[in-house]
Amino acid sequence: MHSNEEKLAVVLEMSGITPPAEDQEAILRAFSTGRELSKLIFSVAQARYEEPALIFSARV
Amino acid sequence: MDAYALSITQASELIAAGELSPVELTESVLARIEYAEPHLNAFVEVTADLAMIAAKAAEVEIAEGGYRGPLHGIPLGVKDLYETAGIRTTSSSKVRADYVPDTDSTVVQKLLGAGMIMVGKTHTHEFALGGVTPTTRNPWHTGHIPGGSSGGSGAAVASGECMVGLGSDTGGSIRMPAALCGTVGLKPTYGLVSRRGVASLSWSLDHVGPLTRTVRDTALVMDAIAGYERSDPASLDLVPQSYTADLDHHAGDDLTGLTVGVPSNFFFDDVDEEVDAAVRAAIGQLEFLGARVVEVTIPMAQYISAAAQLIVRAEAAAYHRRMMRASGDLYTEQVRRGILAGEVVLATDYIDALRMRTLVQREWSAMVIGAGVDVIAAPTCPIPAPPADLGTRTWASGLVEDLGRAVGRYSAPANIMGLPGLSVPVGLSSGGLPIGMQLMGRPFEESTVLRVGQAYEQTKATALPVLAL
Repeated sequence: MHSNEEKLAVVLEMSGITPPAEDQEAILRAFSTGRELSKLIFSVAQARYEEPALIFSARV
Repeated sequence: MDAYALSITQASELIAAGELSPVELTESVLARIEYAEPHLNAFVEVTADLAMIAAKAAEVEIAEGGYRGPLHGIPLGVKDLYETAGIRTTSSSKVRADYVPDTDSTVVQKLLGAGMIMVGKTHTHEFALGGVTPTTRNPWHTGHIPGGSSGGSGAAVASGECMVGLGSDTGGSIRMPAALCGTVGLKPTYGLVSRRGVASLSWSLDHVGPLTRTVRDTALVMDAIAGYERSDPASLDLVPQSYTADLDHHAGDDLTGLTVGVPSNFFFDDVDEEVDAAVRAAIGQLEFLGARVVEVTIPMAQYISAAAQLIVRAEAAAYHRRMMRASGDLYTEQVRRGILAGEVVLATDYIDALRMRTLVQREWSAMVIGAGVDVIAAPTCPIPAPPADLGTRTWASGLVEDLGRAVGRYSAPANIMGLPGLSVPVGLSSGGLPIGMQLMGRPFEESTVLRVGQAYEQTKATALPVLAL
């Protein structure tokens, strides 16, 4: 199991972004809270097949 | 009374009657700006010369019989996220320090078309990513924040530096500065007002709208800016309506027949005692005016903020993706970190958050219809304006909360569900800082929300004063 720090490093590398050293701690904290928020939302089975309401129109 | 202290309704009657000229009014407002700006710093840029040219043109046009309506000759402050032709639009960021758009955003175009006089561009929390607006101070106490992200507009309207301030609201950014600065602020229903030409924070939660000193003034602005526009994908083609005519139609009525829902959870959780008391007293006034008041339970409250945070993070990171890579060092530290936090939201988590929004919307609708509620009344912010150095507060629940975040804790529901949300001033704290009540209506029921807001406003002996600094 990878730590959040390791996961974050991978995701940032894939994103092609290298945050300044002084931002690392804040981003790690945000990443960790983001994972918690995602878990909270994912825990609601009732939401699984709701329409995500992404806006797209075939009319140009 | 100095001209700058008039409401739009008062000033427009005088202008229409030839008793006040747009030049006199603009001069009064510009003098007020000169006086107040060293204390407030509400404006990124004051466009005094352009304003005087426009005011003189308005004066001539009106004298020649070309009066355009109640916004003709009225001074306007424009949040610096709104594009303005030939005038810098910086989003209060070094990233866009030299950006000069070729065209006006739709809302600005409509208001200038109605004859308004733009006096300048107001400060925003950088790219609207925050509820503080650190550049600007609160006119009620300059040691405190004005709220954000439309903090420049809130401070400017409250202090008499303009009569309308344009704002945008992704997580409370119109309603929060309205509450903390003691003005009226309306976040219209999602899709009612075009966002074309306004820098995005999170396109599925972004709304644009006005801050003014009275509810009727807000209705006057809404009459001019609501409407369909194809180039905003969220815009809806609806039958136009006059919010002012609706308000005036009900002007002498009480609130009999309307139902006000008062939340038993979420909105009064961890709230300052003085805010709680002021808002409950205002709700008591609504009941006195004939409204039926019922208790409601906010459904799925714990998921609303979670979904909003994930959506904002992901969409903000997408919007800033190129700029962050090209000029990341130009962002302020707090905003850069906020945007980078969105770089690491997974696509699947973003979609889940959008699905959650749909579920919450359905549950909210069931609650509103089930209880027969027309508006929900609650505090706009849990606290009055905190000091500029922010700090934390420990609540009775044990929650230790950063005050810069606390101001926005009650904002997300109206954004997530795209509902109309009006903040009206309901009093002052013992420290002399304004308190706001938030009225949330059913989608596209702005008229009802404004009616309730105005009915409350008219119970007060006098309007909030334009402030002496």
